[in-house]
Amino acid sequence: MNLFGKKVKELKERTARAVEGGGASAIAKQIAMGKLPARERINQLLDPGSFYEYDLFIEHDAREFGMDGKALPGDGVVIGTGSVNGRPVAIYAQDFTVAGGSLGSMHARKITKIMDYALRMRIPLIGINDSGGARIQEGVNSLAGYGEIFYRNTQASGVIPQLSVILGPCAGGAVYSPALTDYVFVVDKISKMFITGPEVIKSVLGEEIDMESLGGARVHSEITGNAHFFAKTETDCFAQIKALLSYIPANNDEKLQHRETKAPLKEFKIDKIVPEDPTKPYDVRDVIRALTDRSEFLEVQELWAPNIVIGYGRIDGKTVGFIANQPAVLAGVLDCDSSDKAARFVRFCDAFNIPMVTLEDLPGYLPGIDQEHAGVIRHGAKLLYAYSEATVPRITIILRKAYGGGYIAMNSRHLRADFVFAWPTAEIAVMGPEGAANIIFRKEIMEAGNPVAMRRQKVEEYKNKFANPYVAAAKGYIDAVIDPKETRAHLVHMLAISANKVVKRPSKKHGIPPF
Amino acid sequence: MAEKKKKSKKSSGILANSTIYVQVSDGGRRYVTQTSVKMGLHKPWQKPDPEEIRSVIPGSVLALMVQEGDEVAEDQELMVYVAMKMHNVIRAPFAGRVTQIAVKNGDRLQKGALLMVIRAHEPIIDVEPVASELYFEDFE
Repeated sequence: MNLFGKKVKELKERTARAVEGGGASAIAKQIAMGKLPARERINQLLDPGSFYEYDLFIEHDAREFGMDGKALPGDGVVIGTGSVNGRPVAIYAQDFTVAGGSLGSMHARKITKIMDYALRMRIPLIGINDSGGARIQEGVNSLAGYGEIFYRNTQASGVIPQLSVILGPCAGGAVYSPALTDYVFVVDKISKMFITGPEVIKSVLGEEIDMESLGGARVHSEITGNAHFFAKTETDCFAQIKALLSYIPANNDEKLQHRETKAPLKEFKIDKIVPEDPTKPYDVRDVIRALTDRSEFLEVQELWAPNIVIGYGRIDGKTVGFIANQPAVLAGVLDCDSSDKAARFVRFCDAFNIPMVTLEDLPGYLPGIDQEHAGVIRHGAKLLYAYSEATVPRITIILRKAYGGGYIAMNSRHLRADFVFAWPTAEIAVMGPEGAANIIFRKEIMEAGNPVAMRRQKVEEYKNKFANPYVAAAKGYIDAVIDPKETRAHLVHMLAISANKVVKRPSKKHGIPPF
Repeated sequence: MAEKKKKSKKSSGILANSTIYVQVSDGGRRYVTQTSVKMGLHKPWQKPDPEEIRSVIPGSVLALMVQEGDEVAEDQELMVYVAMKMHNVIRAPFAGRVTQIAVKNGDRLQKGALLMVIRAHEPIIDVEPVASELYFEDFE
């Protein structure tokens, strides 16, 4: 064998040792927990054979607490680039089989290196988290590592999409990197996220709770809103990531990809979904599917604050972000959580130049002591801010109810929607007919011989006069009252003519949104 | 370092009966830690019982479709609950027997009020999230 052959042989041997990670028994343990090894995850997620790995031979530099001379292959994290759906991405995956995926300074340096590449090359960043937390032996160097990651997450925010995939524990300071990124993916029974675990909670507060109820995948998908996509298995989770990446651009300068236009499926009949009676609920996602190409809709945060629906579909081959009140849940009211959910989605769409379609049918903001004390004023303000700030094409369709503050908040003309349409079933008014009649005609009702009958008559009077779209149309607050069957045709046209929309904003460093 | 507990009588933003902790350092300086109003209102966490059907929004009962002792199938209509003027149909999350109905027609209820109890026929493991098959067509 010549010298070159020997050197290549040595490389192959070194590579083989390094890619073993924590070794056969640690990998077997990982699989027994229902988890895939780090490289297998990358291979399943990325296009076959597209992955190129960097920093395979990195070594940790800890010398204290018996770390000297201890080999940690790849220092517990795999980084590299590859492609998803044929488009480039940068990726890192923490390797739980090596020292529990704990984050030391070289481990952090690998992650920040791939983050720097992603930002410089303007390609999406995917981070797979599976780590026991800070590597205690490395002390403050480990904390410094987290700080470096958080800073880069913030710098890259709004420039490249950042996706966090939680496939194992992600506890303590580590949770804040996913929280700073755009989309968090969790898998049932596998993902665990919390600042302090059940042990600490028990010792400090004396309260007992299991890990799954404290910070499991379902908790973050249904209660906290920290997660955006919930999957039963890791394989399903990777399918969700691929689906999301097919809708969003690689960076904030890239034009949206154009796909072949396909008609919505015939089973979604747009004029048969919304009941005329405003007390009857329906699933607004059927309306969205009646509008999108091939009736496809990728819902974001399906299980959290489901009284508002957000997600992506395509109209005429191009991505559109949908924000829709959901009358099937909590009557479709705006509350703290649904305002937060919609506001953040609006900001993502605006940052990445994705036009937005708002479907409106809501009775207003949710009354209640718990809502007021939870700060519904502050939370509700986020939605007003996000819409008012957004410069992408914005279209609103009022399907049925548009009352009070809800009417203003849901991308009204007054917040600079580009186009506002109403179906003939729309009721645009300061409040519902019952409430309004009670206030306006209070005296008449009280003094009437039969107050109940008088009240009913006045409610009817108010309904006829104001519970329709024509008062707002007369003021030009809505552009047109349209036949529901023509909604998609209107959207196709409005999106086409607003493709080169220009908005001038006052110069400033940045606004101060209500957090 | 000494630590002692006493009942607060102060009222400025602090719950009147909240515990305060007084620490005295070696130099004799006193530091006072008090709990916030929000902390005082905190209730200990309890694991939710899926067999208890509770209201998720303030509202009122318009119609009950079942009686105590009834066998119900999954998705069967239990009651019409009016909230924000919407007639919301509450359905059985699983098959079981109605063992208690805690409300009657016309009751006005707060969020989180107990509506009824259903004993499940099968042990409840987890509620499946809504599957959205349409997402994945392109990628299989």
